[in-house]
Amino acid sequence: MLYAEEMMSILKYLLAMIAAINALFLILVFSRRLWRSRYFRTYDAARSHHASTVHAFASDKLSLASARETLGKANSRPAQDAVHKMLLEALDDSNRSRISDLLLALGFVDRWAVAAFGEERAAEMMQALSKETPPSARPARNRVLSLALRLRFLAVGRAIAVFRLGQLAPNLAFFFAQEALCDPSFDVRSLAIVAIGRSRHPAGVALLVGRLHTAVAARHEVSPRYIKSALLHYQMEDLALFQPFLSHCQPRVRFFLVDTIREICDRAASQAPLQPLDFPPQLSQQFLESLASDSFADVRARSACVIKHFRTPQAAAALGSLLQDGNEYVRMFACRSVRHDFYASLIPNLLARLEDISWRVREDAVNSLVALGPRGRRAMYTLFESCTDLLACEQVAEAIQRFGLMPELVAMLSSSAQDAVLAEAVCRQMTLLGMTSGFKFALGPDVPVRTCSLLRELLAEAPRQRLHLSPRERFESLSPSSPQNPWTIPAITYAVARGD
Amino acid sequence: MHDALLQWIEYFNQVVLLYFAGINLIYTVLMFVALYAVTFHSKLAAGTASVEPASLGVRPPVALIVPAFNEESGIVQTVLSLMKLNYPEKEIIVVDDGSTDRTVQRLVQHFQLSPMELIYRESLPAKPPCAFYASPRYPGLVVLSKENGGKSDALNVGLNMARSPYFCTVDADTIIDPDGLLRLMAPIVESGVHTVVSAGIVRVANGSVIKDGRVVQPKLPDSWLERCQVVEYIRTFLFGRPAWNLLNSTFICSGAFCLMHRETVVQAGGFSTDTVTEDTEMITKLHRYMRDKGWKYRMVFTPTPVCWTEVPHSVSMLAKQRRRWQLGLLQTVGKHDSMIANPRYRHLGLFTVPFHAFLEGMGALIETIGTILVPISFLLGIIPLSMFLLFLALAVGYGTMLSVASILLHERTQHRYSRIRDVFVLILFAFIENLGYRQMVALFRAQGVLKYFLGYTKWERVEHVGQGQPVTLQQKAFDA
Repeated sequence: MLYAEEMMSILKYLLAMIAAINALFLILVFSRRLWRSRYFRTYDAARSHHASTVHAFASDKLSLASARETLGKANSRPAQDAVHKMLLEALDDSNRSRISDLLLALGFVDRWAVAAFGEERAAEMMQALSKETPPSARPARNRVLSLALRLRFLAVGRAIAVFRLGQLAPNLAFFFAQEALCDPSFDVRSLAIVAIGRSRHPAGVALLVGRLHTAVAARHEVSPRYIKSALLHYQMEDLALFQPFLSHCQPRVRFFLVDTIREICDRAASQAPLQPLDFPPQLSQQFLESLASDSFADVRARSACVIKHFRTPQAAAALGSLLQDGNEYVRMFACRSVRHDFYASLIPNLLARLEDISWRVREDAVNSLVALGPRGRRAMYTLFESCTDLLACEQVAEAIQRFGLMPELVAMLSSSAQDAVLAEAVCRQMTLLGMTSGFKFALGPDVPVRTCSLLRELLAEAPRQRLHLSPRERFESLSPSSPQNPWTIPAITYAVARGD
Repeated sequence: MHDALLQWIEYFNQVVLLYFAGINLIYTVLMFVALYAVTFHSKLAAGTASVEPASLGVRPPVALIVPAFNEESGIVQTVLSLMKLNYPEKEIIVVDDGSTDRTVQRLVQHFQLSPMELIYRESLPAKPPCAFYASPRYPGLVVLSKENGGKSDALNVGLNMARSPYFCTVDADTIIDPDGLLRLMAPIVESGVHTVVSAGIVRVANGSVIKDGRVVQPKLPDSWLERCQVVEYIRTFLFGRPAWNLLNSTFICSGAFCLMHRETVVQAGGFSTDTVTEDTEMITKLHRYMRDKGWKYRMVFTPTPVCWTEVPHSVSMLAKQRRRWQLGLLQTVGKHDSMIANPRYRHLGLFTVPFHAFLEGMGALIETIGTILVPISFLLGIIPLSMFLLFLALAVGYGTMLSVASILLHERTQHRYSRIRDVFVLILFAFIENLGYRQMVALFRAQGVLKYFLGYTKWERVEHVGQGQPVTLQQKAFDA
């Protein structure tokens, strides 16, 4: 053990050191506040001073020379930051080129290029840019330097610069992003990928597919989902660019590309319904003829979600066969893909899927029938009325409750004889299943007396809820006194259905 | 006898000294690692603001599971904040764990839910739900009622009901930042390695202005106890967890808001009901499961605020909470003791788990006994006055340093306290908390250690005042 005196001196040194570090931290906290306060005072002043110029230039009411002259007066760092941030904020598809030219003229692009690639390489690149030639091949980096450049504290500046360069006009953004893809840092490379996606440059798809292939093969590359995020910046009119890669030898690459197309289509369809002519004919053909029968199940599954937008007889035929695919996920996605009146002819196929061995498929089949409107729902009620498959019946009864279909059934009970008979049979099936909670809430003052009394009668008959039991227990508990139990659980369904 | 006692005290003082030196050395390393990690993460996030999180193209569906037991005061606010999350595909599953108050009624009334019979598929063992509530108006919301079985059981029920590939555990007293879920999902989407857990910073909601289920202005609470906890939370989340994360050794993630991969959790066996801190146990279990299988994986902690929680308002509630946390930590390391010093688990087995078992876990006992014995040693003349004072100054100075370093990191993050007055108050409490609060918390933790050795397994429940009443008053002031 140390002597007391030595201990005292060590403690004193430690205390002095801690006091010094505390003081340093306090200085850093308050100096940062002070610095931020001064910075944002100048920044805000510059913003209000230059806002009208930026706005006028962005809306094409001011020439490049005038804007350059006015905005070039911003000398301090906060003022320059304010100017470039305002210009980047004002960017849209109509003014991207003009604003990029102004940023170039004001020297921001040079500065960002230096920060991203180093002085020497930035000079080479700017020269190549002015001559409109591709930059010379980058000399190989020293291995030690590459390792050092991977460190985040050295990479942050480069990453931010690449991010800013990535917001320029597509040609410029793509030019710089291509170079940044060779950076040793993960952060920089991933921002370069985002920049390529944002630029929607035609050559970007090939580059991103190349990266996707690497990412699928190598674990430590930027993730495939991240590259897909970048590809999602492309639009419907760019779909033809994807076509050459849809027959890629790597199935996961095909899957990610088909899934990207699916999301692009869904996004466009949420704005306005898609027409067959929105798709390049060769692409549609490729989906119908090869991707719908791809050897990789995930490709077939996602293809269904693209094919649904075609709305042609061939598309309906393809979806019809995908609904009978051997893979449950393909059937599931196919079920989800037919939620449109155009595919009403596939209602019988959907009804068949209600007795599928997978609950996910059963669930999506029911959801699609409900989404198909009165025709789909009527078909569902008709099947439900006479169905003996317990799992299919439960799925339908759940949908009736979750989608709020009880008021519709109550209305049917009070309408034409045919409808009333069907609705009553549906309600009786629900009673047998013990799924009658919805009945109580359907009993309103506007409901005819006959309907009310029927529902009350059914409520009184309803057995205890038994959904928490296993299918076998549920099966055995239903109508135990009846020698002819109305329910069946197909053996295969019982054996395979996970979680049931 | 007297000499033997003095000798014993002297020996124990040496143990305390060694413990003090050891733990502080590790904390110092963690502090510098965190300064590096948080500073550059924040700088990158600020410089590339529009890349994350809203522009994330790929957003896998997420189930938000809210286990609730007697949470009538804040449950509606929590569900509202979840509904307002900026995330496209989400399902909200509230699991009422046999509440005896009006938790379910509040939800039923506010969201106009109806009882229904829904299909429940059990992939994890749990007490089955006895009632389901949903509404076609809110297709993404389901409320399940079940017999009381604890938070883990409720989470397992939620997992059985969830459809999405990812799920997020959400405490019923938590308010989520609108972009919180996107922020947690961003590292999962970016990473080429299977990310099984993603967590972020939990901030203290007490005192802040909350409007329509979201924190619109972070403010410091008024009471000293809550302020001390604010400093403590900043310290825990800004220098402890990012540092462990950078060392790829995340061991604790707050269950208040934590994103996990559903299938991996189900394969690992779901949440265990035999510990009182199911979140810590789950993280350890996942580490163990993935390493046993030899699968590549990672767990990420993003040093960005994602949610706000209500901290205890009274000393008694704080005591209950800290005893539970300590007990849960020891139960977890006790349950996974085969990981300790096991080279198969690499740095996790050789460093992280032993650190949490012996220094964070058992250490609370040494800390508390030390807090009592050092002054006794001085009174008995074993330690001279000068050394006693130096030791005291060193302990306070060092504790303050860690807290001030965290405040420095906090200044770099989003949602910092905007008023300079708040920074002064934080720094003041970074100092004040060392003069009583820390010792008090150490005592509660030591009680947790004793409870572990005495075989207690009961969950001590912390009552929440809720964001309902006080928030409304503040909201009015804010609106005015």
